[in-house]
Amino acid sequence: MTPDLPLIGLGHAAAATAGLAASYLLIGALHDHSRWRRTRILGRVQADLAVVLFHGEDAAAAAGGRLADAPRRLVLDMVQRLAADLDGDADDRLRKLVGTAGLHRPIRRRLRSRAWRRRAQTAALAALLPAGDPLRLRLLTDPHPVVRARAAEGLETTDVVDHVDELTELLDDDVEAVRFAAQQALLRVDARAVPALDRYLRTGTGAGVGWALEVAVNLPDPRLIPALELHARADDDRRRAIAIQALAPWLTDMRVLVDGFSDPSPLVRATAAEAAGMIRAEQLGARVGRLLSDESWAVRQQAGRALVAMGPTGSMILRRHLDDADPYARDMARQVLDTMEARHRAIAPASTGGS
Amino acid sequence: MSAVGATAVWLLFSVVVVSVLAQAALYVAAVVELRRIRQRDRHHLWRRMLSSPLAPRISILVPAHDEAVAIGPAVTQLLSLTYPNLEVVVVNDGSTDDTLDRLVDTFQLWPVLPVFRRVIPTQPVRQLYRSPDDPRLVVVDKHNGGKADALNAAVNVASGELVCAIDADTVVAPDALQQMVSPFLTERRTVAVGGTIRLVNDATWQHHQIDVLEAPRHLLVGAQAVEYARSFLVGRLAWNPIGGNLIISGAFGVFRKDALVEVGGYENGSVGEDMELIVRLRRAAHERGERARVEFTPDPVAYTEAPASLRTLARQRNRWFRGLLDVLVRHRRMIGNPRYGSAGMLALPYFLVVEALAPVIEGVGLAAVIVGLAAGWLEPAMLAPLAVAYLAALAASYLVLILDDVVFSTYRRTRDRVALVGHAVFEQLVFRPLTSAWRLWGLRLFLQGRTEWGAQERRGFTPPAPPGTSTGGSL
Repeated sequence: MTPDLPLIGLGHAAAATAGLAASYLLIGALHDHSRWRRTRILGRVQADLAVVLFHGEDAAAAAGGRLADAPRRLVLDMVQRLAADLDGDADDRLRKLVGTAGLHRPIRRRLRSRAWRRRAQTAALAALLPAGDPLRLRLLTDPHPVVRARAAEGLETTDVVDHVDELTELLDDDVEAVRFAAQQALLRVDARAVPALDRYLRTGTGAGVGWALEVAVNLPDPRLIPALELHARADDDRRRAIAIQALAPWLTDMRVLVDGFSDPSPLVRATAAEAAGMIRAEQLGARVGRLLSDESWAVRQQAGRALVAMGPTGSMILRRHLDDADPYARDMARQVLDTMEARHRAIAPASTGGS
Repeated sequence: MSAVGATAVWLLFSVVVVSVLAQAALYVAAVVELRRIRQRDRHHLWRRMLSSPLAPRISILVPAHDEAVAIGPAVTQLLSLTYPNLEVVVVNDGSTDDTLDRLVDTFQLWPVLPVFRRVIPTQPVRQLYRSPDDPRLVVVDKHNGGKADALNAAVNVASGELVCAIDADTVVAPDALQQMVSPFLTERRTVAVGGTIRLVNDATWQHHQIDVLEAPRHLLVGAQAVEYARSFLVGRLAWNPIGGNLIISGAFGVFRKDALVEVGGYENGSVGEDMELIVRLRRAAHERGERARVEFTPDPVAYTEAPASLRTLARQRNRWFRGLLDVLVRHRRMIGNPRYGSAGMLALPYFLVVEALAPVIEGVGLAAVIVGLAAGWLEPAMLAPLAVAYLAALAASYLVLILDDVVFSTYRRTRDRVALVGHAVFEQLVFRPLTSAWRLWGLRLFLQGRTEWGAQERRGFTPPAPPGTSTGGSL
């Protein structure tokens, strides 16, 4: 046995470790430089894109030429970030740029890739392909959930309008991310989504119903009332609460809210109280006042806010509760009135000034 | 005796080779996993999508015991996070200082009826407080019951479908919750998600957020910075693809609330309650014939203060080690049991051999070397394998620092990198033997049945404040 082998090992190990330490410093410096370079190029790409999108045609032509020579990946990245936030002329110019800069081909190639990650990365750019391109919507039925979610999230409003049924189907997807993305896409549409949503709410029984109801809250339309009334009597607390919230703007018969005030679920009681405030249902003021003694803080708080929203009638009811036997009702009334008075005081000095 | 010495040298050399190979395998697995996650989350669509108020509700659980120094800025920072559907549940766990008064004053809290479903038994709750200005904040005042009990009380009160357990002194990155929620949305079996924790001792601040992260100047903190990077970036990430993650840091982790309630919440009386919970979640799922996914996301999501004194660090490390031993003893039936999948067959045996037996092996090795040198049984040249072992570990640290630099650019100045090169050397030569000694101390306390946490000094982050005491966190 000689110590030669371990000594040789030690020498090599020491050299390798020192080399790694030096590499760390070197790679760090190179990385700093490449980051600085990338930031510089990105700045130029951003500036050129701004010129293309918001300036005159001559300047845009020159900037477009420069963009065609810029690193494609950076341009695609920037385009992707901008695409979702643009509309009108700027959106049209961006689409034109994507065509003239030869970006359609790389986008299509990526969308057809076998690697789901590549498809997922490019899914949001599908909307920049010309109208009628089948790839724009094929990703909604992609086998991978992340691609489906990204595709739904990246849909243009016009695409959403044309494919509301497909999107409502996605509300029942196995993967929550896809349901969430489909819901967010549906929220971007106006009343044109109502018939499909109504059909889904009447027939749907799966997990997607809750998500569809949330869309209905943000898409107030009287055509949804019968379906919403159905869900206001559902077994599920959350569904009942969302249905009441969605029904509130259309209520003529207050029975839905009155039933909601005595619902076993605090979530439903709070929602009913909030809805009463939202529609200023003064005739329900006394009943809302009774909710100031509710065992749930959220219900008491919503009741207080609802009474404030009801104006003088609500304020009168709140003042009456300042002497309530229940200390928590008394406290909530005090809190709400104090907050209201503080707001009035904050506004009052500004209104006394003149010119 | 020289034959015995030579045998010992060859044995140690073999151990080094195995250790280097194991580290290399973990490193490769971590790099592959890192690439997969980075590709999946490369674009910012998730973050934009999760800016919707309809995003899943998250309740942040903040247990606070004698945290008067840090609690105000910490809660303000949490309420300033960009996540749209948020609730912050602070539990004053029988503090003896003015933690509760500070909360009440800072956020103008009002007492409310303590009505909630006690799905997990806890020490009695004295009062609930709410803020009329910010309905997202709820404060629970309860009798002291320890960190696990405080977290359970917070779970009872929480209204979110996801809960995020953090330490009162953890600083959360502005978009951290968006990143942590993504795995829950893409994979139904996900029950817990953890992220990388960074040290914040030397950082400049702006608007309650970290502006620039500098390499620590203090040697002990610097050694911990290197250790944290290695532990999070390789140690945890490498377990992701084989489903062997057993630790979500107590300083910041997100859980599916119903899964947490189903297993009875955090275990009282366990010093390693964060690891214990994960092991129990996995165990329960396997026993139901299901699979629970615990995912680690490599992005830096939270920052915490590292102990800068030997005394505090010693307490922390021996507590962590007692926690590990506690988990291994409680769940000993899982070890090597194929019924529990990768957790039973890979992760727990790894923790038993590499993490629990390591101090014994390393301590015995160091003691043998010292005795051998003193008795003249070993020539200095024969220590080469031991030196190779330390160099290999040092090389692993540098590899992790390179990976961290390329992927996250945590430290962006050459002087910070030079400092970290030095900290890595200090970590191997001084910090590592110290850690072994603290673990042996922890082993002794564990065998004596000691389960207390011990006090931990805090300076507070913004602005630096006088010393206080806290229950501390875990890596």
